[in-house]
Amino acid sequence: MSTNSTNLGFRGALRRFGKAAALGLVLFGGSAVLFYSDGFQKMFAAVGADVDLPEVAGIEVAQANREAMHAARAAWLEDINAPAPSIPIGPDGYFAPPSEDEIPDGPFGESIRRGRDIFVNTPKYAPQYSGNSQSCVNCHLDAGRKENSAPLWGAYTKYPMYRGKNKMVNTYQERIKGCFTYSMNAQASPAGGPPPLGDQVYLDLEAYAFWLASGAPTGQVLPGAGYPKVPETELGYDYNRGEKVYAQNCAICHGDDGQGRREADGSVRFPPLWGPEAYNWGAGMARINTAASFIKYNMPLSQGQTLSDQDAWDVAAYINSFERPKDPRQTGSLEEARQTFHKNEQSYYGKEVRGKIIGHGVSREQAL
Amino acid sequence: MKHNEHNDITKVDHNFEPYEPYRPIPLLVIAVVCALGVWGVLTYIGDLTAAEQFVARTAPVAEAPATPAVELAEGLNNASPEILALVHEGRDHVWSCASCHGDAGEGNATTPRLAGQVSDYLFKQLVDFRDGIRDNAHMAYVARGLGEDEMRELADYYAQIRLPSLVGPRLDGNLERGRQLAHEGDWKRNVPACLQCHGASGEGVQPSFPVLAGQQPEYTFAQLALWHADARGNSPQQLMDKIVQAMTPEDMRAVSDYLSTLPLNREPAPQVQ
Repeated sequence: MSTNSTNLGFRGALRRFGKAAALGLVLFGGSAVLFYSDGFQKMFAAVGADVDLPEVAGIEVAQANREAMHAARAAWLEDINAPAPSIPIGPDGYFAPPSEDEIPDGPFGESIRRGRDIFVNTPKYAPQYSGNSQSCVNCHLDAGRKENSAPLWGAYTKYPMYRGKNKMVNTYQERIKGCFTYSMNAQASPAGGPPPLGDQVYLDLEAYAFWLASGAPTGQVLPGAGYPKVPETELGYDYNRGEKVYAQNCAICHGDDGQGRREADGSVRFPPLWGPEAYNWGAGMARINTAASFIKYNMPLSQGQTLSDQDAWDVAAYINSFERPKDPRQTGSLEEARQTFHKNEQSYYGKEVRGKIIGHGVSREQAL
Repeated sequence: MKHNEHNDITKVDHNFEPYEPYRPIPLLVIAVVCALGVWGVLTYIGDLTAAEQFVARTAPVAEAPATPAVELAEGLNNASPEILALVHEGRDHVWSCASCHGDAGEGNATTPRLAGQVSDYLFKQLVDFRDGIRDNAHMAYVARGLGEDEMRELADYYAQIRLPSLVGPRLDGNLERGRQLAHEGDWKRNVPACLQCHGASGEGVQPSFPVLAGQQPEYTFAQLALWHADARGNSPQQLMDKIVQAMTPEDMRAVSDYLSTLPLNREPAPQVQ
């Protein structure tokens, strides 16, 4: 028998098992590290396999970048050689405004919160100056945060600014006064007109916009500010073609009659698009090009940029081919107002639609 | 002459070892077994701890409500005898609504609550089940046994039932994240707030947007999972499909749990216009 020379005996076997166990632990540890460091996914991805790397919530990226800005601000004050803070951006590259839990305490924070409330539910929080069923947030999505939806952070730093609409340099308050005059149709409000300059409504909305723009530079138009223009199409725009686009894409929320939908308690859920509860003839949204831009990039809600340019133009034309509250600037005849205020714009103001001149306006009393 | 070599006694191999030689199990094999063993034990301990924590967290919610749903509900008899018979007894070999959805339409886990649901929405679902646009074998079987008039009356019956919310979070979702998704959305993922369309308090908007408040969290999650997997085809304009495909499973759990916490405050018996 020659086996004795290779048999380790019981103690030897135990020693050997000990070595194997140690090697096993090392194997386990190494694999665990590789697994939790996404090593496997990265290896698969490196050879071109389609793997899902763990996702980080979009909001979290934006938040982390804002925290980095705050840290850089503090460091820069301490040490002039530290790198200057950069503009905080989200995972998509657009400016990242602060999140609601960053609203400071105290009177400033209270003003910001009041401004936000007015912004998201104007008829409820600014009832005296609200002449229809519209809220700021209807056209500035995500409480004024969303890129390509005329976000407040994109607008605030642009003012004071010269505007062709009233041919003067406008302060931010004067700009919001325009919103109340036209988009909120303040002529039909209990006060009969927009809030006077200096009113608390403006101060609160200003506080909200100022705070949302924290970290945004002045002197630069930010990507995502305003509504991107939609290129004009060969066919132009046509409300007849737009009727079908509307039925297929918009009616589910805004209703076949364009009057939106209300909740059981009467509050507006989906805003009316025409008629006495909509923006008036002087509003930017009554221009077909502006409406086409908003629609193309933001509608149907959550499906921005799915309509073709042609459909966006046509449906904007359809929505703006109905009567809405009159332009408050009209003092004389409709034709005079058209010549003075609507001459070179893309709208149906003072023009013939379905055999009738429109633009005279419709009030709540007339609609009853 | 052919010689048989095997029988040649002169050619014996003297080095032949008749016993099995000692061949130890390779070290690496034992090591791999040890590594798998460690993994198994750690996984077991981890799961056990998580399960205990889960039970500890959710136990108070899982308790059955003190009062049965039928005693809290209003409007359980507001239908014709034929419709009430369909609800409680079924017809021929088609089973009754109440046998799965509960006597007050309160639902159970992945079987949805129907009480107080938007009636046009319920009607559309029945039609879609019948036509196979919404895929569910049980409901397809039931819906094929119903006429459209009966579908409409059943939808109206369940819509008018007033029943307070009886559920709470049961999926261990992150309620703060759920609140954020429900009220603000996550626009960086193109996910709008749930309540922007489903009503400020999640109580639905006629005719297309169903009630989410007080829904069974397992049901909400199961439907989100179907959309996520492109397997629930009947959302108008594919609105829900595209939204949910941008959500993670954690977000889906969070929002299902959060929505189940919303109370139902609706006024009793509003007239269906």
